Amino acid sequence: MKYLTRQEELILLAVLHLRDNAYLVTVRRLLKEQTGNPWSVGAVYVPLERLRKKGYLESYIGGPNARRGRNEIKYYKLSHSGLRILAETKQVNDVMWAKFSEADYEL
Amino acid sequence: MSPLKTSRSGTSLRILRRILPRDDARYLIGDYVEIFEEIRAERGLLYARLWIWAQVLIGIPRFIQHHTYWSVQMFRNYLISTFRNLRKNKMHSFINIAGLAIGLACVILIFLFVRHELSFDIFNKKMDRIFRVVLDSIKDDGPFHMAPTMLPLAPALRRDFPEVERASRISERGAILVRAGENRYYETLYFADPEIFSIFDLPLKQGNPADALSQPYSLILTESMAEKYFGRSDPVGRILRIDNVQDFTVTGVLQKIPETFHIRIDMLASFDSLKNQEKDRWEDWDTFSNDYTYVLLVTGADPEELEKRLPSFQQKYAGAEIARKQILRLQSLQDIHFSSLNYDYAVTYEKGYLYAISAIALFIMILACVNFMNLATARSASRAREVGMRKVVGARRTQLILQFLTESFLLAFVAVVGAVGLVYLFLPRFGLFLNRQIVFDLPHNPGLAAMLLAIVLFTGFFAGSYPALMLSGFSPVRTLRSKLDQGKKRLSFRTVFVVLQFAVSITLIIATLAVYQQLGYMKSKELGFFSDQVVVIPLQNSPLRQNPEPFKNAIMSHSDVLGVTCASGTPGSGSSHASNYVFDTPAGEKEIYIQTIYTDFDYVETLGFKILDGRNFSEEFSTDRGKTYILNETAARQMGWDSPVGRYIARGGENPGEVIGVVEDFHYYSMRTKIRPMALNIRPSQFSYVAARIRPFEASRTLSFFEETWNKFAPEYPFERFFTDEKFSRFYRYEQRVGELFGLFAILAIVISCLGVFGLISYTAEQSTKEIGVRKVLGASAASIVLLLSKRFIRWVLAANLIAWPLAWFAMHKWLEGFAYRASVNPLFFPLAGLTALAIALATVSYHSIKTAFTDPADSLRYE
Repeated sequence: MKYLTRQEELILLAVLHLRDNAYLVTVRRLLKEQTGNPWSVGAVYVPLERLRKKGYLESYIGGPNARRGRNEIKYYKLSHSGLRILAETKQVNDVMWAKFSEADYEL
Repeated sequence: MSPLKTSRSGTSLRILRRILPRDDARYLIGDYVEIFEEIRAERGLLYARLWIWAQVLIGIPRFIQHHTYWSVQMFRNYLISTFRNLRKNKMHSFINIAGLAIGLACVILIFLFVRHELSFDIFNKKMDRIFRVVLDSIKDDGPFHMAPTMLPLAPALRRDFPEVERASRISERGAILVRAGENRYYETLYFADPEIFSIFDLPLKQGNPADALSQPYSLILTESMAEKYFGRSDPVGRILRIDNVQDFTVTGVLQKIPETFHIRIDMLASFDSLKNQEKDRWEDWDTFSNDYTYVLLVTGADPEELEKRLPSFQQKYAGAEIARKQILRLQSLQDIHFSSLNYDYAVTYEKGYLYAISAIALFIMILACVNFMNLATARSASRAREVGMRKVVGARRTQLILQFLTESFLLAFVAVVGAVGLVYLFLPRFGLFLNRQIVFDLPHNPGLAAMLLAIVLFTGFFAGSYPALMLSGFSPVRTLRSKLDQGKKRLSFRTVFVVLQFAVSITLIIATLAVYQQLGYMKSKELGFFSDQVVVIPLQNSPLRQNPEPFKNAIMSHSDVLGVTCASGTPGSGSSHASNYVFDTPAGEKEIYIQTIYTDFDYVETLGFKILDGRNFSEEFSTDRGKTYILNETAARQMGWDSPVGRYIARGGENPGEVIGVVEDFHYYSMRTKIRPMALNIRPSQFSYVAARIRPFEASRTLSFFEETWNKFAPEYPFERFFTDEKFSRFYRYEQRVGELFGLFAILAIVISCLGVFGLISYTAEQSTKEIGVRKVLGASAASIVLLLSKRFIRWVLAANLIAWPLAWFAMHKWLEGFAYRASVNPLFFPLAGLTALAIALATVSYHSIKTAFTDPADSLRYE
């Protein structure tokens, strides 16, 4: 199987979460909220584009909203192979994480 | 409207739009705006602005890296396609680059030479204030411009004029025997006042400029001279024996004098050393020898104003009579190299030649560039498809222009590198040829490197712009659909240049022929005496000068010697004694300059002058010992009598002597100068040459006999001799060089024109492949097709003749005017040059035209 980096994994999951409203700004906001760390524009845009080129994401252009003037929006959504690699990753993760429980190690 | 747009931060957005990845920029801008708004809402406007500017700053390095990367990629692609093209058309590329390289090498050589000539004397830091005092001698037939001046001039100038800061005499004395132990040679010595060091920048390597020339009989040498006489040992304090009588002490060594100094000084002695020898001239304001006067004016002094005061100054010292006849002038240092004064010792060059040679360089440069352009355009048909393809995959026109310019810059660069190699290869020979030591100091001279770069840029741009603009303008559909057909208009533009190229070639061929014709004329023209087999032995300063008679009798005894004479000068020796003569003419008393040759009784007979009137000198007449004259025709004509025999002439207006005969005019100097009035007079005290006419057989044995005899009489002095006819041909070395230079340029111009024609014919042949195929199918013969292809080239060469003939005629007419005795340009040269050019053009064309004519029509029709 192919591996995703942690960053890519998070971004794919963010796109999944946001459904029809996944684009640079919303993905970045979600990641920031969930991880509590600031994400730079580049740190989001570059993996997004990379994932798109790998075929895990698809992009489509949507009309502008009020906040951004006349500028169109480049939306992302998961492709079939994107969904599949998320499934594979989850499967592996589940198996690999199974032995781990916080309680066991008194963290 | 968001605050970002209304605020000044709009600028940041504009920058971001430029540097963001091009495909996504318009979406990303929106994203930035949104995030900006978010931050503003959370942290305030100031923070948001700081943030957006930080984004700009972060983005720029990435942008630059990205941009450079792709430029390099594109450039690499251009290079690859250039190399592929070069490889594909090896012959074509070679011709193209070689043609340009040869042309450029030629231009660089000429540039170096012109720069060398223009840089004469500029190494002197006080150049603007240095003047040479020269003299106009006023004669009945106009002023006679001379470089030498009288000896007392420099000290008097220094005394009388406060604006003359320094003044120095420099005297040249040739063929002086210099000896140190066993090393003895004849040298040219220069004598100068100590002030010479404060006028010119002549640094001493050893010795002190303040006193090196202050004592009589002190002398300084150049390093090479020091090595010649003393080897590697220290020369300072050593003794050189001059003229076998006087010891000179070496007081210093000169640093290498720049090649661009107008005097070629090897040995410089103190001026006071001349005082004993030239006692009677020391205060004489009316005689001249090879003495030259230089002054250094104080800063701010006006030379014109000084010049105006010179006549009254001269009147004070020399008297009104001389001051009226001899006008002193100031010649600025930078004018010396390009002046042409009489009796000048300076290294000079005619500015006209410099202009001519620069014009030729410019022409060659243009021709080479045009060729380069022609050949590149000729290939455009095969490149058209590449252009179409590039356009289809999205190349913009600017990119294509850039590509072709890159290509031509690259080729120009390769050509310049080749040219530099050629220059290094040919510079020594070129310098020898022009009698100059020209340096190509590329590594030490950033200016020269910059010039070469400028040549690359200029040639690359000039030669590449036309194909770049033309090729990039093709419509992709047309280029891809079928082969390219172009209008006649484009062809005619290049035709003009081919015609021009041939016009230049033909002009140069005619010029070369005319120069050689004049050379042949001068060498073969009757000199008016026995010029071959006359050996001349200069007496130098040997004791024989006082009494050459025993030596003369001794060599006379040899059976192969037909006659011997002693004289003050022989034709070709260059020795001259011009004096003012006063004589009666039918129109009253007249005064002219006459060259006098002092001879013995055998002069006319030994050299074979023809007596036209009167008689030869004879020992039977006692008056012939000094009191009678034989004139040449020119002098006799100037007197104006039907027969001047029996008339009297008076040298300097005193002691009139009878004219006893007239000899036919003979050439004493080169053919460049008109035969001057001359007089023969017997006076043994002035002898400086012995001339002997010998049998042509076993001349070398006779010559070694002369040498042995000489060594018996004057063992201290090395024996020297020359043949008169050799000496005369050496007069024409300069013309010889001009002829060779023109010949070289003619060949070059022809080669370059042929390259141009080659480019055009390959283009034309390719263009008409199909037409020729059809013609052949319809039954045209190979010959008729060769004719068809060559026809228009014949027309062009003929057109070139129309331009070249009048041009060449005019130029050569002007050049020949510089010769008193000249051959007129042979009218046959014109058609000859035209036919040569035509033949060469046809030969060049034949390769392609014959190849095309014999191609199987099936191949040519399948061409697409």
